[in-house]
Amino acid sequence: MREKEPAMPTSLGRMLSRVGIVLLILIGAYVFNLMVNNAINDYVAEIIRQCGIAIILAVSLNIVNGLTGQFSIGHAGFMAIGAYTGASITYWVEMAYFHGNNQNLSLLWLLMAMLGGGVTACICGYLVGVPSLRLRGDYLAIVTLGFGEIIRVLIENSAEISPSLKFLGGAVGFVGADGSYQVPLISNVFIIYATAAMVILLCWNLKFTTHGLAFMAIREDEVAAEAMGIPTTYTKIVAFVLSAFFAGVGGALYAHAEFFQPITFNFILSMNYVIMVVLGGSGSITGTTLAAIFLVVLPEFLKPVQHRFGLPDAYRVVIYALLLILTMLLRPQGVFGTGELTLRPLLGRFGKKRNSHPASNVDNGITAGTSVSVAPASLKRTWDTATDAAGDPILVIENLSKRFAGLSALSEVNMCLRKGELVGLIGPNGAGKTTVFNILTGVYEPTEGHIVFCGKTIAGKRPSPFVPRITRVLRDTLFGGVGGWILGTILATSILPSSTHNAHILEVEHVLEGIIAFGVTVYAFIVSWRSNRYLPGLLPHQMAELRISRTFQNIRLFANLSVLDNVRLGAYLRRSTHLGDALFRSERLRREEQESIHRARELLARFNLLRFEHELACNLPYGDQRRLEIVRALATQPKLLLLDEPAAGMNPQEKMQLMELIQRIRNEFDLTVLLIEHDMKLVMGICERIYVLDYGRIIAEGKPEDIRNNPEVIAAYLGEDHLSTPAEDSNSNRIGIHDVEEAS
Amino acid sequence: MLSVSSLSVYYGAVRALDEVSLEVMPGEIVAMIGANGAGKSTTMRAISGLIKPRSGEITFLGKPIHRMAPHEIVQLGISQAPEGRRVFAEMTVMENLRLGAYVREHNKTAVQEDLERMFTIFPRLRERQMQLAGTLSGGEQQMLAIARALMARPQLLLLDEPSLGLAPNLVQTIFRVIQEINANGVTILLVEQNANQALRIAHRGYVIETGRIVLEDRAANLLNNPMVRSAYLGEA
Repeated sequence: MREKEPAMPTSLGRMLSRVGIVLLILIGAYVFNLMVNNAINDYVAEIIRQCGIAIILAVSLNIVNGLTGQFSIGHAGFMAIGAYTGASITYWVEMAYFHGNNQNLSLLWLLMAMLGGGVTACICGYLVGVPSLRLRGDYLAIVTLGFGEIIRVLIENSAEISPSLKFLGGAVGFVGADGSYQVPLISNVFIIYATAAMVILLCWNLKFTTHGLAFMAIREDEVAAEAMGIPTTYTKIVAFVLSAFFAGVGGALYAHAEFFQPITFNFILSMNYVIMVVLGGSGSITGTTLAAIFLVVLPEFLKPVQHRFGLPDAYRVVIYALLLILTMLLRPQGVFGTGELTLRPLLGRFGKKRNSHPASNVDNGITAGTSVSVAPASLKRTWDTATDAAGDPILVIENLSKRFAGLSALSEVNMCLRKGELVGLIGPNGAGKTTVFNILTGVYEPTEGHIVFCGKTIAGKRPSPFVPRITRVLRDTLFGGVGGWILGTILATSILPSSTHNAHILEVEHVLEGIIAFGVTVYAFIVSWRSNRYLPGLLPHQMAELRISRTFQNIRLFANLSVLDNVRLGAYLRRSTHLGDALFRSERLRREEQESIHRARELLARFNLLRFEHELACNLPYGDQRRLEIVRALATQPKLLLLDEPAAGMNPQEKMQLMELIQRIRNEFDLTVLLIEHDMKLVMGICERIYVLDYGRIIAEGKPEDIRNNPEVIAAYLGEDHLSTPAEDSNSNRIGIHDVEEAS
Repeated sequence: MLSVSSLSVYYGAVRALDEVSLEVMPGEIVAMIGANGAGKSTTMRAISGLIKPRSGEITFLGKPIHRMAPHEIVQLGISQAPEGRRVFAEMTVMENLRLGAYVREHNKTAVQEDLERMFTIFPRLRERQMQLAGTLSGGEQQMLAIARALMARPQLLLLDEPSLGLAPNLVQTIFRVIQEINANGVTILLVEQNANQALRIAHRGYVIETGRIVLEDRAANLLNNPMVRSAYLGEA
């Protein structure tokens, strides 16, 4: 990558171009508005407005269902919250300033209503998301389904919940406190389409950055995403909240575009948006947009068809449904899949990406058989290495035990890895090797024992310092107090005879409330004080942050992301930008993205994978997938690399190349490597030391030739008919150790 | 017994198999070797009916089977231990094995005998028989997948990478078991990365490269073939 970057436009220029896009959107929407107002009848204008709102809702749902791969089916609930909040805001403004004369309401108030609707929906999204997004699978669908219905029922019965909510109007729609109010219909084509375009633009900005990739990584493989340092629960909540915000904005627009009732935001509406996302292609922004337009317009087109043949109304619905079924049968991944419709093919060479370097420049990685090349100094790791001198223990495992429901997987395992070592971990199937990896990467917490990495205890009981402990305890006590008070109120009023006039009973009631509330609070305090004695175990993404990286026994690449994107995600951990930067394409983000792409391509080039950079990871040959997984792990800049059966399924030739690769990365990337492998040629050939695990215990440790001749290891693992011949030079890092299989 | 003639398989527009023809005689062990992506697993999947060929024929005991559904093919006596440890994760080891014998569930005593036999071959499975298969280690799942295929008492057993992820002593055991099963009258078609071991126990072998059969010979001859030695046995 020696070539010079094209002369950078000044940041002022960039600013202008960003303002330019917004201006373009505004002008476009304004012109469109004029066209609709002047040239088209009301009926069509109405359909056009509906399309715009559907686009906002579908594209926002696409963030959760498409990009992040979750399944939310309560989007209309957030829309309802946005609609009612937005309508309430304009209602209050009107009552307070304009005394019921809604002619004077300006665009500004509508924007306030949209913002209010968005923020309220956002908060509700957080409350729904936090408990349900911790869980994997279909829980979110069930929770969001319930949520959507609850919101609808709550609004329908708002007057009974509190008389002050009477202005919401209940089941008949938003009618104000006097029952005759009408929400001003001030959402015009201009504001709807400007909003829709902004939503699309923000999602588009997000999708192609590392932040958006992190969303998609969760869709592809949650376990691997965690291992790459992506906090999956947090990221899912962010996606969900963002999606809820846009839905709230869309809801507020809807409230000022059409008449609505709680029943408007029913389950069928939610499903409509789900269908738009699925039909357009989950993850595809352009696909979802087109599907939204198509599905709003289609029933209208079917009307004349229906009248032509004199069919009753129900037939239209049937045709609509049949079309959907057909589309799904013929193209289950949606019309656009995860791809996008872009103008690039039309623009041809002018639309070419600016930073597409000729691959040959960098694609000069080693081929099999060449000796280990020394990396240019500039490519060496740039992070701190000063603190850990070579040869010091980097990883110490002390007395590690793990039991699963009485089944003992590991007992009293002791291991020590020195910096820069290449150590093998072997043992019979089911001996607990992968369990060691899973504890090291935070998938499991140990039952007993400790793991110290770079001088820091990372697993096992870590006594909590006072401040975090007391913070948690106070938080729990506060929750306990609030919960206790609610519980006390409910219990006290239900136990005692209801008489609000008897002062005596009231007093008893208060005392009872107080006792229950106090009791629960004290209980919460004690439980929390005890359980927070130790810090919670580190999660996989936190282990990755500490620079422990891994590969998986059965390859876990992000199958539907490109090779480049798989590696690019390594930069997620070290990013300095946040989501806002991604949504608004800040200057900082642009630089960081360029750097991450540059680094990823460099890394790919070093491993001869650059020629596949735009290929989907799942389309690579098997051996290259295994290598890519190692490269992806390296992209997180680890100090300790854990390889879980990297040679599984490889043929002898590929294995030879792999041996070379492992040694090469250990040297060039300043790594310590722990390797699980059953291929003895590989293990004996490259490992300096080997630990042997059997039934969860270390039964031997030592140099390859000691292990090979250890009777216990032969009995438990290598096999009795394995006649070991001493290797000529097995301690060196050379390849070419005798073939174990040949000896039998 | 099994005859594959001019079999072509496509994944979308990509040709995975190009006019592959092979023969398996009764009582044989036939090994198929080749690099990753050469088409070994695809051939297996075509035989067991999991993918439909675009052209060509597969006949088993004189019957064409390439249009049959996978479960019908199993009933005819072809059973496959799929690559990648596809065990029923939410069922116990015992339930997995019993499901393997699903096509002959009526014969209770024979099934019981076979269970016993599997536990003798794989003592590890006996220890874990009440455990959920998903909680087994990778290698143990591999054993279970093979044992489950054997429980169907097939006439022809398709083994896709049986030694994948197994400890060295178990690799030896597996190959010994394969020979034993064969001695008991089961014909075996074997796909292996461990070409050396596979050719040692096989009677005949096929070498497949980028979707074509490039070599066919007696296993002993293949072992001594310089091309095979350098490409698949890891010798210089």
